[in-house]
Amino acid sequence: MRSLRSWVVRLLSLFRKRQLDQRLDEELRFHLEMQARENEARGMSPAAARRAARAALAADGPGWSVESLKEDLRERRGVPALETLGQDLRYALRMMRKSPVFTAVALLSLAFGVGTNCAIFSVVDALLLKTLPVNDSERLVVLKKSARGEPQPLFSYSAWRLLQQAVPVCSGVMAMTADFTAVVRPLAPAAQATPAGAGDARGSSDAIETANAQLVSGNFFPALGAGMAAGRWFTAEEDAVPGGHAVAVISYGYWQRRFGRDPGVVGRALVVNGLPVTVVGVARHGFHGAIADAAPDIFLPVTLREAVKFQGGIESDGPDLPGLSIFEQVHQHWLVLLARRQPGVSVARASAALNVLFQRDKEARFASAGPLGRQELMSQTLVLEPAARGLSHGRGSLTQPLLLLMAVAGLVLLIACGNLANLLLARADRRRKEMALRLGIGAGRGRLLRQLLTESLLLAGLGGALGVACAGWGSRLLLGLASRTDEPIPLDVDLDWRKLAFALGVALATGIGFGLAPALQATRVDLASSLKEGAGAIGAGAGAGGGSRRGAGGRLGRALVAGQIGLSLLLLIGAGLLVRSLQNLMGVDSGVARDGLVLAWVNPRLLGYDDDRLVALYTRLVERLETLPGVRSASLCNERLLSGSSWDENVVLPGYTPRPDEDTDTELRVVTPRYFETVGLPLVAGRAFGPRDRQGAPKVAIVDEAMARRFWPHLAAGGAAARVLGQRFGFGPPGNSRNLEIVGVVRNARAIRLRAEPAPTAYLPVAQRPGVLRDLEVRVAGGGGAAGQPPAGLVASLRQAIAEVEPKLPVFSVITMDEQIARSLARERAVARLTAFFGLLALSLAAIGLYGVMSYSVARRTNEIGLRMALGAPRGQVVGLVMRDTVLLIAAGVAAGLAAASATLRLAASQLFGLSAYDPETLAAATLALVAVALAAGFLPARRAADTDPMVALRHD
Amino acid sequence: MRDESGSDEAKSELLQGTLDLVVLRVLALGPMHGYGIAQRIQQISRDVLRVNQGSLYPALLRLEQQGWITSEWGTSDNNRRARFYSLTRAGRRQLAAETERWARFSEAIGRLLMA
Repeated sequence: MRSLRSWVVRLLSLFRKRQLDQRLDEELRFHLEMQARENEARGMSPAAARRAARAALAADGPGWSVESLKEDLRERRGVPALETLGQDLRYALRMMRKSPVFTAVALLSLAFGVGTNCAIFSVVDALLLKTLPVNDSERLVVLKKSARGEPQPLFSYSAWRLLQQAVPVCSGVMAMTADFTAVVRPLAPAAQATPAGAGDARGSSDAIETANAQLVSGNFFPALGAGMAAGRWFTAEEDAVPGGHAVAVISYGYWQRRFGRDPGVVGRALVVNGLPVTVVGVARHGFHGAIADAAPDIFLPVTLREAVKFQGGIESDGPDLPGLSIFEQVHQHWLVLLARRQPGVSVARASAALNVLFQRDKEARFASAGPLGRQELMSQTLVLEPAARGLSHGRGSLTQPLLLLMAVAGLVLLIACGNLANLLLARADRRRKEMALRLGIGAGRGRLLRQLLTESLLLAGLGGALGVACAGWGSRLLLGLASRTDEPIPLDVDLDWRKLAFALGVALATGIGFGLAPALQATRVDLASSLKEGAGAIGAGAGAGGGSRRGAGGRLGRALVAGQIGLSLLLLIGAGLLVRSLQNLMGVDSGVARDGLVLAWVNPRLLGYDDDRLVALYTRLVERLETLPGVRSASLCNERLLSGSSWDENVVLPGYTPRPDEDTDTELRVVTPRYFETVGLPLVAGRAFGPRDRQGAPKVAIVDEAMARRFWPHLAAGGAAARVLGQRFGFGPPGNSRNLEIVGVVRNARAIRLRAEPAPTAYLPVAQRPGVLRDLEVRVAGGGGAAGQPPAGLVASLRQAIAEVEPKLPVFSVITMDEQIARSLARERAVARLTAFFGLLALSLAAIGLYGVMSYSVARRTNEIGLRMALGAPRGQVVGLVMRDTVLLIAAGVAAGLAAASATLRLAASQLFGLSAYDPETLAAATLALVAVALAAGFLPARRAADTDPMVALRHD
Repeated sequence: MRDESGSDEAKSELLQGTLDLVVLRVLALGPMHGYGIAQRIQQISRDVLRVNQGSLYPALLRLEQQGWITSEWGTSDNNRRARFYSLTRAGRRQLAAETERWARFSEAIGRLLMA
């Protein structure tokens, strides 16, 4: 209380400054007069009496003078920091204007440092830290099923319906799917027609309009508690009947982008994957659903799953029940469930209540599950995980690289701060006399410190503001670089108070970080020696035994430079490791022949064909494409090479019962006959698929060597893959174990991602396992076009040929395999490029720092050097003298850097490929590069020292 | 650069922290200006205690900020404008509490030294 009161009094006194100052003067004047009068009465002369009175008043006070007593009282009276801030700021601005080069260098390096850190933080924040922009996001949980490994997030539609009854503990159990790309055609009235000239999308081959769609439940929006910009959300009734209500809500962004925020869009129709739907509302600005790094344009009811030909996967844990739709199948899991706990309901209580309902879903599945499935079901429970930050696609794979980049950017900022600190140290050194004078006439050390810190904080603040201005651009660049598609990762990185707070924190920390030590240094002045300085310089140098004259400032500067060298070595090594990992990844043999392979996405699902028609379409497509000039062969497959996505199913073998914890899942690729020829995957034994492997013929499969070794190790041992030919296996329940006969063995391929070892894979002919194949592969003669682009003529003729066969089949991007590999490594490339950039930047910053410190030291030792030369020291000896210092600095830095590297680099091991974190070549190369650059930076001042003219030097003050 | 206003005989300097108590005690006699307070302390203590004038004014400011004394401008004996300090009610309470504490403290020290 008391101290609060005293602060109020102090604050109020700010507003009466002048009046209070006058009163203080008057009070002290009164005191002095009274004392002088008494002293006179004791017989002193009037002058002596006044002098004695002043001395008495100042005695034992701060600073031994009446003025400093006044200053002290003024400071105690008010809030000194505030009061002097204006004064300090004005002074700081004047200092900045006086040294424009220093100011520009400082501002630019700070802007860059704060900007990069803020840019990376924005992405980290959006992906890892920020909660969803919905009400009470901390009450959101995501529902999962316990499983052998990670809990499984997918549920059947009927399970969702059951769990929805948990009203007492949850204000809503919401269902959603992953977002997916849909072909969109506006069924628009004339006013909103497609742009002139675009015409019918079908005619012009490129003009497919797509949008990002997501299926969500009717209670999704109200349960997340967000508002609408226009219209209404679809109701729970509208997602009750499968295919019953063709309605949609569009996002604010899509509304803005596609419809120019036309309020008339509500009530209008859109055609999504061929289904006309009515737009009933526009979600409010900023709402993007519950996936942090997805930006759906169109929200549709989950009951439209079949009608809009949803392309997401189904996880199945039991047989299809005949005659039932996907909405009634209890073993088909495809919905992600989120729940919002009622206020005051703990996760444990919500979990208990939901598990009671989940029991009924388990019972429903138990009846039709196989023995294995039953065993798993017994132990299955519902697990609730907090979902305040929402779900995400990239959190798993982006977290490590992002944190790595964050650390790297932080280190670069640290190195830049080192340079600024050194510049300030040098400046402080030049201002020693000024400081000594100010301390001498009674300025408090705290007061001077405050002013010096104001200068550096002002620099940091301005640099930080510049940095923030560029941060948004940097974040978007990063999101583009790290994306595996043509679109940047859709994360919301717009500036908000969190990023501002972060940038402010970084700027403050840097301001204090690089400003404090020099300021302390500058104000720790030995008055007498500083004021006398100059005259005694030679004496001091000689007195120190002829060695270099290093003040405390010199020592600190050297320590800073050694630290900078160490940090930049650490960054260089890290960058080297990542760049070499990327090279290793690019050079790794994926197993397929990348040259001359062109890929296209198609989506036959949108045609709505049955299996027979699909298979017939594939045959016609391949036949037509193979007639194109330059095309050697063509094929289709259910998964694209190196797309990161996989389709695995559980393998069963005759007479083999897997251990309870054994994972028999195997990659499954469904292909058209000439797939192996097209992608260049060599056959090791047996035959490829052919026309005879049709529906009704004996079912056949081709396996890769990895699968042969995995399931028939006794036969395939020693590379005798041919011996697995004729073996039988199957997918699914044990009864299927003799379904398929192996007719061929192909080489392994890194088909999912380059980083992963080839997974055991089985290939089936599409004729015997009909379904939607979305990836089209074409092998062309004589390699691809320039720079990873498919030959332009080929793209046009491909589209033309496909349109001839099936005009309604949408063809998405056409790219080369090289491009596909590049995309699959986008993240690794982004991280390698950025760290390499930061590493080189760190190296040059450290070199500049070293150069600066050595130059300054040479300049300060001009007298000494001049004296030595006058006494006959040869040039070489002078160079050696300075270089000895440089070499010591570099050695200390390199030792520190190597120590730091050995302590930290193993943390980045998960980002490396094909080499260890202690790769000796990389360590040696980085160290050599650093030492070479640092020696060069140190040699320039040494040579300049040797050029010293002794006569000029000795006259130097 | 020592105090030349008084005589040269040795004087005890006020114990750190006791200046506040002494000032409060002196002001209990009635409102007084800063110079008067310094004089009065020396008189009452029969010149044994010497007030460092340099620390008197900071002490007055501190006591005023604490709300234990208040000040107003008045006229001095020789008809000059001067700033008079006086005790507030909180100041009286503080004086009583501090006096008691001091008494206990000095008694304890006395016992220790005599033992």
